[in-house]
Amino acid sequence: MSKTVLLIEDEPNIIEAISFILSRDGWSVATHSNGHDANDVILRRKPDLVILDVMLPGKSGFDILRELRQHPQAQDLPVLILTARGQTKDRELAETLGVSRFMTKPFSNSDVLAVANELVPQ
Amino acid sequence: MALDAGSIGVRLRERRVAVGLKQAELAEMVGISASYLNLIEHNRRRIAGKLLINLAMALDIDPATLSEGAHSSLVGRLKECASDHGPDGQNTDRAIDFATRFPQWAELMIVMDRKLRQMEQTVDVLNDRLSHDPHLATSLHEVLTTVTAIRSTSSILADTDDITPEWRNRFYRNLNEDSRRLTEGAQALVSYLDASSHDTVSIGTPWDELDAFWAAHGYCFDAFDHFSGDDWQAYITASPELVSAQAQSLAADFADRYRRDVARVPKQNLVDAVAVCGFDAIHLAQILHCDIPTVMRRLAFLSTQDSGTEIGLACCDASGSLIIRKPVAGFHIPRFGSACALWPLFAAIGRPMAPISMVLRHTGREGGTFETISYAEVEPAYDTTPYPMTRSYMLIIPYQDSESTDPLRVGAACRVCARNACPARRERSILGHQGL
Repeated sequence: MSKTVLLIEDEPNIIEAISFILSRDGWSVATHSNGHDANDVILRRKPDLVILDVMLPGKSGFDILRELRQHPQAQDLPVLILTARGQTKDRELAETLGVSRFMTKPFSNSDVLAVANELVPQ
Repeated sequence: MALDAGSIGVRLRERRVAVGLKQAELAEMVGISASYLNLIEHNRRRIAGKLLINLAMALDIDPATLSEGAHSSLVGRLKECASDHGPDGQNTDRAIDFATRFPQWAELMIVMDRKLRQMEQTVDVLNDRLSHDPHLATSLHEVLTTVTAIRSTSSILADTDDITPEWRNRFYRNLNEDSRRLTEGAQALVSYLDASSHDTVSIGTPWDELDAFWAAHGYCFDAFDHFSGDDWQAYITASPELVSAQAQSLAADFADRYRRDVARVPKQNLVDAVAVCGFDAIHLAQILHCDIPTVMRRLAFLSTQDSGTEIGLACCDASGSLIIRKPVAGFHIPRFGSACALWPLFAAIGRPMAPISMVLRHTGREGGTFETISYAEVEPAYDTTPYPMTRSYMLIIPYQDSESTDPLRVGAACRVCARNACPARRERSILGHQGL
């Protein structure tokens, strides 16, 4: 059974690129583009991994992560933040909120794939 | 005269070696033992008076240079440099030794330190700007996001041999879209930064354009008092400062309000009233039979020639966002981020329709003392919105009698305010404040 990832990102061309890379590696990819109800989607889909942008319409990735970690069933869920907000304070905030890995844009495809497979081993 | 034994011994030894004398030879020349000279050179004995003069003569050097050192100012600057970066006082003392032995290296270190300070200052300014300039932050994130999409997509095309034609075409299309977006984003960013670096008022957001429009007219529109709505519209459209449609719309709103203000309070009526009761906006509103904000706006957009003094005005909405910033020398109104929470402008929001009169002392380097009147009006609602629109104004007038009162000390914004122990501080100052 393939590993599942939920990509929460609002930039269509990045969604297509990451979906393509992960799909070719055997991942089952679902996507969502709105921050407002992102946590509902995560809790309903129960993916093995969440890839989360920060600047999303409706709610920021930081707020999503903060609320997500309050749910008992999502406290250990691997969350990879991919963001253009790469300042130290953003990274520190993400770590405080319980992010599993923090990567800044622009990233390389191979790095994203490697981190995803590291967070969810076969 | 007691001398700095820590430096004179080193200088003495350096000079002796430079002229090619052995310790014993020099000691004999000045009539002391070689072991005593050795103690002096190792800073274990202090020298002054006749012995100092004799040693200087023997070494063919000015006694003052030997006693004070040719590098005394260099040492001072080096100590200053080391005190900022060095770990403790013991190492700082060794600056004397270093400056004396290697003056050129010491000079280089000081120059590098100065450059480092300048760069740190630049980083602070840019950091401040990135944190508080939403337009710049958004533009940079947009560019980074587009670069990411391009990099990821091009990597797929380059690395994937067996990509289907359908996917390949889709990625080519994406690349085309993203490269166009990147070009537009980069051009907009360059224009924004270029304008910022050349102009005192940078063109960025529509509000910036409106600020530039006001500044270009010296915040005075007397010459337009007879303008009709159509005249204003034509003028706004042709104004070089008002580039974007949104800025032109903001300017049209301003012109509309300005025309109404002029109709209520013609310039000559205002000037005559000011001659009677000064800049007391409350009193002026009473005798001119209008509301206080109208008087404030009329005063702020009056020429200095007519008012006789510079008059500043700040206006914010209920969120505290500044929507009118008419500066006055000595009272800085920040362009980005939030202003000082101590301004009565914000207190007025909590007690609308009740004027607050207060003398303020601005903490900035060139800060002055100002008499201010703040007043929040609640604009009538013409629909069923549950929240009335509030506008708060603060009129800022240079205060002549600054010695006879105890003004409230305020700043422009926390990050550029030097006031310590401020109850309203939200964030650390880049001016070295230690609080928070």
